[in-house]
Amino acid sequence: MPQLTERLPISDHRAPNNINVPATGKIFFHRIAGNDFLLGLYLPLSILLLWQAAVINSWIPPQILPSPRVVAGTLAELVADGTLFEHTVISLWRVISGVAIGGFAGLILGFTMGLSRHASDIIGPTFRALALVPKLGWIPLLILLVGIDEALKVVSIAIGAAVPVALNTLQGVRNIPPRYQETAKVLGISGINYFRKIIFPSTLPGIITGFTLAFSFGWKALIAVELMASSEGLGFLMTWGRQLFQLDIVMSTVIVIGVIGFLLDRFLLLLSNRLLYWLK
Amino acid sequence: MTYTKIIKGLLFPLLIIIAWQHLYDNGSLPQTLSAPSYIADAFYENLSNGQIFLHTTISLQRMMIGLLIAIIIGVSLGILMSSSAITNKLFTPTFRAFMQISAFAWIPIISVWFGNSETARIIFIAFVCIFPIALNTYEGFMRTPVAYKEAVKVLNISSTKRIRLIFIPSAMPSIIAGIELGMLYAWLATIGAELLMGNGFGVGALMLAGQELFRMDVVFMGVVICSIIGFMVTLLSSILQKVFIKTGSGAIR
Repeated sequence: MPQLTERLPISDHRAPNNINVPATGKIFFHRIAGNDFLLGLYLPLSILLLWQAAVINSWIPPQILPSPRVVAGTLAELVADGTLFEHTVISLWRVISGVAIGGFAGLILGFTMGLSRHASDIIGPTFRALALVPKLGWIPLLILLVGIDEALKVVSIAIGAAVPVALNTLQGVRNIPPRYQETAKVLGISGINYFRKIIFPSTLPGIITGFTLAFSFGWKALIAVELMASSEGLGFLMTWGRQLFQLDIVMSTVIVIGVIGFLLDRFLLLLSNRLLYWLK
Repeated sequence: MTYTKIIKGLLFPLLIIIAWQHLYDNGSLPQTLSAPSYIADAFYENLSNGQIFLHTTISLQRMMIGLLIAIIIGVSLGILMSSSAITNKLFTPTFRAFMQISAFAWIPIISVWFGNSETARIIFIAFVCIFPIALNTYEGFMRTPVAYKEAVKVLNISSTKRIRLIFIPSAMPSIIAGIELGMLYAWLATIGAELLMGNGFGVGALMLAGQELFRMDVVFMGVVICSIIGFMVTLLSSILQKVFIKTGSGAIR
């Protein structure tokens, strides 16, 4: 299934050693660069310079490309007057409630399909067929069913969240090592205790992976939903800026969306490491 | 798959369809929620007047053009980032920073810069797909097994040969995985582009039109078409894997 192969970005900065770099080039770059962090700044700085140059020489009209200084000013303004904070909280709350609802449904689905062959034979194919619909494809249907209010955002995130959680839970249950089951049998653990002591802990890594995917996808999809129909939230802020032809607002919001996406990723990574401490 | 499994798999959707139709005919469901018979009618109508064919072709065409551009740029970018320590340090941090931004956040900017044009839609689709493809290409080349590198050194193979015989085959599974992900992203992005900056053509636009006219049957039809195309995309990606990944390529575990 596609969702299982969706990978989170892995922070991996190992230096490649498959192709030999001429030693002179290395030394030259290191002299001017000092360290890796500065080297990483070259590209964004040159983009910024090019951007500034384009504005100063008016290659592109400012309505289409506002100057970096204007964008920075707008960003500071939006932060200072609390607009950004307000819309961010609304957006985050939508993602959290959507993932909570969808994740819960996904857990039930995943455990049902994982624990019973019959259930997985009966609902599995239908579930997989529905999972193949791109998550945004549900939006027109949901608009007709639940309107364009808060429910639309929460339900569309919930649908997107249920799929990775269910699939990863299912996978987790299927992959429980047989010796655990045998041990449980020998020790006479059954019923609710069997679920609590054996199934749940061994499925937990899969569940956490599922929720991590659900969150990072939910955050991305929410922006799309808010762009389509919303009167508050970060997506709305962008639509609003676009309608006023104030691209500085749009660009500031893009930066904030990126920063929050990054923080969300870091937070989830930390959380999963903390929850799965016993795996290491 | 055995016959009993297929029958069991069909049981659930059939039951839902029958119950849905029955409840609708009873009048227990609101009239706005269409019924399976109406959805079937919508299918028949739109198949016979060629609407489905038209919109699906346009969507698939967009998706394929965007994907093709993304494969070219993404694979080159991945090779560039992984080709040397310097390019890695120069480009990878910026690449990762851009990856954090939800792709849909670019839609307002793209639509200001390129208007509501076909170019804008294709740029968006390509932009979305570049990330998984470039990342997987990069990781594929970065994870060449040490054993291979040592073998290359010991055997003193010429550089063109070592790229052709060692590095490309060992990175291939990862590159293909990136392209597969790219295909899924491309289909999602196509629907997104058609919903958010559409021109009235494509499967997404078909659904949007149905929604605006309160034609629930047409919207349901769109969802089914989406699922079928999604299935075809996964089928295509499994074929891709079989064709391009020779046995024995990839990393030894």
